[in-house]
Amino acid sequence: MSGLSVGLQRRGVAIPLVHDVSLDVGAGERLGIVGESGSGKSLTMLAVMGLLNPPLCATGGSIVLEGKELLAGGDAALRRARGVAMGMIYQDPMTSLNPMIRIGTQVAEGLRAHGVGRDEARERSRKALIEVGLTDAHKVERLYPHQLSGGMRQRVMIASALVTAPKLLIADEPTTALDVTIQRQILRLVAKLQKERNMAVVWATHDLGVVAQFAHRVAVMYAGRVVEIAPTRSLFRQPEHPYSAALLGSLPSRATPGKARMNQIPGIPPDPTRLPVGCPFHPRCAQATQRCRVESPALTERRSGSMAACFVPPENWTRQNRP
Amino acid sequence: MAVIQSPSLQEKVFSQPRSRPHWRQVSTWMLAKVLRAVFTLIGVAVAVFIILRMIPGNQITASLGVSAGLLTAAQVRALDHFYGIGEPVTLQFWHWADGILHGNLGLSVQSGRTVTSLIGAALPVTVELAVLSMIIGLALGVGLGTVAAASPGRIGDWLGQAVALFGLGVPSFVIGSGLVAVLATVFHYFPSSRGYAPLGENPWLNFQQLIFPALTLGIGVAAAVLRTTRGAMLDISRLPFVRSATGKGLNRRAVVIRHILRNALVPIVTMSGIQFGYLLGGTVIVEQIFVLPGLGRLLLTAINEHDYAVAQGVTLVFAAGFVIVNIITDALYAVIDPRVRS
Amino acid sequence: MTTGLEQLHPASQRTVFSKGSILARLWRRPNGKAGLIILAVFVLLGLASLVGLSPYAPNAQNVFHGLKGPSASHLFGTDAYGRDVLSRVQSGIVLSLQISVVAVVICTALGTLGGVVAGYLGSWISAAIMGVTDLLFAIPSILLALAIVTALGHGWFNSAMAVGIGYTPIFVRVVRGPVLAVRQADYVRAGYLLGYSRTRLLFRHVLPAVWSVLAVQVTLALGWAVLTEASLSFLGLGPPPPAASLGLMVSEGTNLAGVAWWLLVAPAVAVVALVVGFNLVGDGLRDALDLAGDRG
Repeated sequence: MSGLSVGLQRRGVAIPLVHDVSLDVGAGERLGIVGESGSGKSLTMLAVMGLLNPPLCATGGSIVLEGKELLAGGDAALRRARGVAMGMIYQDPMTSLNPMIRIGTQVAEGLRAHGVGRDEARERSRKALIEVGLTDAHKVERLYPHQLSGGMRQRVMIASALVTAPKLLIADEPTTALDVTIQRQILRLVAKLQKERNMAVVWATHDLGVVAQFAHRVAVMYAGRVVEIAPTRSLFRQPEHPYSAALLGSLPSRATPGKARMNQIPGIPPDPTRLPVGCPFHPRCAQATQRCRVESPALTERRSGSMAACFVPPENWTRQNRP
Repeated sequence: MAVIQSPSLQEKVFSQPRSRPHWRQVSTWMLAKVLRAVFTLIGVAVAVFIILRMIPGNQITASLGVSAGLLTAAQVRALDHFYGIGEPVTLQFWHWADGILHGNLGLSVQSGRTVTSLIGAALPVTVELAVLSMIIGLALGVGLGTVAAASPGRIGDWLGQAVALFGLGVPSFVIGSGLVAVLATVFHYFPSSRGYAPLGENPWLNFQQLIFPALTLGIGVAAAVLRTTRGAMLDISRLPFVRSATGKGLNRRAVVIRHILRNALVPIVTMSGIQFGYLLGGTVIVEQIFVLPGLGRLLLTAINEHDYAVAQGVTLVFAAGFVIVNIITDALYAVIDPRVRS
Repeated sequence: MTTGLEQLHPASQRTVFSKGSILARLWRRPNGKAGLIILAVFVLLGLASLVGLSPYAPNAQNVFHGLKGPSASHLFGTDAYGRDVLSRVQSGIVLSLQISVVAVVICTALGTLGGVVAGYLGSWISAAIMGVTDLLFAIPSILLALAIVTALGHGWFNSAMAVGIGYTPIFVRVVRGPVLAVRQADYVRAGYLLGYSRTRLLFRHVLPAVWSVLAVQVTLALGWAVLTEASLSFLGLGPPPPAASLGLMVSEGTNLAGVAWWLLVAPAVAVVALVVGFNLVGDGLRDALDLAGDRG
């Protein structure tokens, strides 16, 4: 995926919400995307699936999956790719299942849409339910969503995304609505399935803890841009962007429990319709220079193997934002 | 296949299917609805009785017209006694209510026939008309509403909106009169001129006689159902599960029908139930225009001729019809929405 | 005294129903604009006859000019008695509006009272009101109107009573819903805690919230009243002839449509225009006030 932009189309004028985002993920790789709410994570994910609802739409760039261009391919190409090539797990398991349809039917639906026969679809969806830990699949498939708990529903969501064996699994904050113990179960479940199937997984979250456990690489998003992409380890050891550093700094520290106060990032994320000139982060950034107020930095390669969009190298940072 | 972590206890508890208790709950729920309906009907009976007792003028003298002046006082008393008119109002009501329970709605002062037999003859006509109108209204309303919701702002939507505006704005008596006028003057076609043909005797002629009145009533139903369908579907299409269905690779058609329309059925059923009430009222007008010997026409004649017993009986039947449809509506909720069942 | 609570109130910004602003908002909606234009044309057409701006007296007969088609002297032709159809339609509009407005005043007054009492006071009074409402709902409203007009006798005021009472149950339900919701809303509960009297809460908090719903419902009720009144007089249960009643004119026109189509078309167009006009304005109001509910 490269140069993807998403905009809000209103009365012919497009308000840009996601700017020129380029991400790539290979088979068997787990990519994490972190950012505050409103940073454009969900929009980016939905744009990849082609699931943006009007007035939102992808305004530019390209999405290439296994050598095939999706944005230009039109609805039919997208539809064929959904399910088979890529599947998605959604933010809210409570409302992402149709309340009127039995679980079994909803899981099998994706298969049926791609031409699998009724009996085979049922067999495979039952298997998928067992695979995600719903061992009494023959009972669960006859229930309706309201009869399941949140954790079970999210398992069903995962089953219905995986039943068609997609090459790429996109997870959009799938654990935010769940309590912590269930979050861990779901995370481990997806990790295990990812390994078994050698899938590519993109996991969007605002929770750095989840990323640390799960992702091989991390992309940090801010105000609709990717500000840093780094292997997970180097991001946590040496963030190359002040925003990443600030995010890490806002984590409760394990080393000094109760002593150090959690660091806040001052200010609030900018209104996407009124982005500041220059680097979008500069009003909240302790490292901002004159240049940051005028010019918007591009992603550049760093020594650590990371890519970051910042003019000020970490060596020159003032202490304040050091993790 | 080994499971990394078994579902929590809570999840296990929830996974037990509990379909049987659900249905038991549903039946008590339905029983409550039926009881409520019975009370409503009793209330309607009282209300109708009171309203019609307020009508000035003696119904016997009205029925006999000019010859009433020739009756002796004894004759009037005898007639009054026969029709139960001279009694105190409470006693009259008691007799009437007692009769209803025995399937006896009293006697028509005008024709001398029992109200039950008059209603028995008229009821099939109105039921057929109502059912046909409902079919037309639902087919048009849900169909056009779905098209309109699937492509907001496009031609289908504009067409649907126009039909809705027409159906809601043009009273049924105008549509009916227009149809009669056009059929008669342009096509020289008078479907009712040969007298009413019952469904059992001449189905084809019966269909010809009923299709235009049914269309007249159906358009009004269609308009309301269309607006409800469109509005509900547009609201539902923004819900997350529609996105997740699309994300599975379903085509637009499957998403619209299986997911969006399916969930819109509850408001559609509600609106249809409401519309059925209007439709019953509309039969009075439409049966008049198209000269159909149904309940509506019977009621209007009875009102014009001060035939209390008939008017009471017919109104009660209308109310019963409405109440029954309400019960059916409630039952449909349970069929459509699994959440209602629990 | 004014407290912070009053400012928190969501409806209080709207309580000032300055006519200009609501009309302006209505005008910006395509449906509201269309409805206002249609209503303006036909209402003015009717009212013009009151100040003598109609070509003939509505009941002036001229047997030698019966059933004449539209012409310069009779824009919409004449009926079987040689009466000018345009003039009769004009006075029919006035009669229809007169009955409808009175009917809507009746049902708004009764319905709002019933709805507020049922929603606000609760207890057995509420149960009784809702019981009666349910009961009236079970009788199709036009049948109810029919029964009432039969009981009261023909005449414009009786028609208005019949139409008004027929629509009252709908008002009760429409008003009771938001009253119930507002009564349980946090800002009203906060008002109880602050020790405000029930009356104060009712007038300053509960009623303003119902106000916008009521505005929409009144407009829609006017459309319904025009329609029902015309239906009643179509059935011969409206104001007795020779009063020019639109429904009766349609009914007479149907029989003569073969020879004189204008007799059917002219009054029918007037009825349809009034009903459509009120419906469009009602929809426009609902959009303009941004009320939840079925937006068609």
